[in-house]
Amino acid sequence: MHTDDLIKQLSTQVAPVASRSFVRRFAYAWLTGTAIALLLLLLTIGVRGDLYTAMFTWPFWMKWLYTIGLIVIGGALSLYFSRPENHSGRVFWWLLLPIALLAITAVYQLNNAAPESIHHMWMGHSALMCPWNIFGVSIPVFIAVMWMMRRLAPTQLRKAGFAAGCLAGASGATVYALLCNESTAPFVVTWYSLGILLPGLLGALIANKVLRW
Amino acid sequence: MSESLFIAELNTEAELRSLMVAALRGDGNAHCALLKRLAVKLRSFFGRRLGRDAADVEDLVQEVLIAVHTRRDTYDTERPFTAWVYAIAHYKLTDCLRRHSRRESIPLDETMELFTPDETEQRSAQRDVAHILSTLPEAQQQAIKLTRIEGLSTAEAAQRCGQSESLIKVNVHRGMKRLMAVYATSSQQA
Repeated sequence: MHTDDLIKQLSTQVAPVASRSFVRRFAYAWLTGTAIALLLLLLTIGVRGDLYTAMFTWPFWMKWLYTIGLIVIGGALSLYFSRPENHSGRVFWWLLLPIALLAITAVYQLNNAAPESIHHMWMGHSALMCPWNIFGVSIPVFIAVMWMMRRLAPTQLRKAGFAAGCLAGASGATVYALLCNESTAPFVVTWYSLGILLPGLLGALIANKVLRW
Repeated sequence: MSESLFIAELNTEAELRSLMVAALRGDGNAHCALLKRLAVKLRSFFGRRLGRDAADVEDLVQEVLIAVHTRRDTYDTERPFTAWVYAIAHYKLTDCLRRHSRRESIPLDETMELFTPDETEQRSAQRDVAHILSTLPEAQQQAIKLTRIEGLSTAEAAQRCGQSESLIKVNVHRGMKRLMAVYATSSQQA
């Protein structure tokens, strides 16, 4: 097609677009993915039996503060890299903020623990499954945010994929926390972080194929 | 960067951005004008980098225009518009080069280059003018060169080349008319 004809065609129907409305589109996609992840969890394994009482305890909120904090940062990073002119990888340092806070808590807990309980504090009873479970739960979110990211305008595909993957991982971890009854900071900062990192790495790995536009 | 260049850039930014803002409000005419202005800029930007691969250049121009249209909601009206377009153009260019597995890397810091008149563009414009001028009779060529290109007044031009002032005026007028005709037919063919 001749370029002038293309321009004419593109200009016939110009729907008004609110500036930054892509934020809402992205939020809807994320919300849909997270809702599906939650629904799948409820329909298959269900939540932990003592969820109601657990919601009034510190360990539960420690986990949620951590994962929700990472959702906020992962979401901000995803939106940052969904705009074409942004490319600085330095923004990823923000991810270290919640990790550092929880790591300090973990060190504090380990310092105050009896030496024989340290191993259990770290490994809990589900250490080796936890990252994979989080990865599994985050898959619907992963698909939703990658699908939406592709419709926006990322130009740094690997970074965008990593940001979206971390967002998906943090969302999956938030949902998974409804099931998981581990309660120590060393456990969460190690195995939850690993579970969040997995989809992040996957996102970076497949970004050049999946996010290309 | 010279001051005049800098001001030219600011004007480009202000003008394109106001078109974009109007387009985002749903103004089809502004959108059309914006895409046309961008097409010209993009064509020379890609042309310079891909050489004579004209089909590729036009493909890229169209891809960027479509992206500007369909992804326009990722533009934040409080940020520079030219940087936004340039990032898209740069992305499409690297993507094209990658497709052709020519792994050339292009630094991203030349942000404003898309919007500054560059030397090649100017030189090729000068070549075109010289070429078209050479098709005119000698007296007309001289009259146009002195008054329109070198910027002399009619009196100064008359002194320089020995034609009378009224002859200079007549020759400029006839020559320009002829140039316009030549230009019109050649751009119709193109």
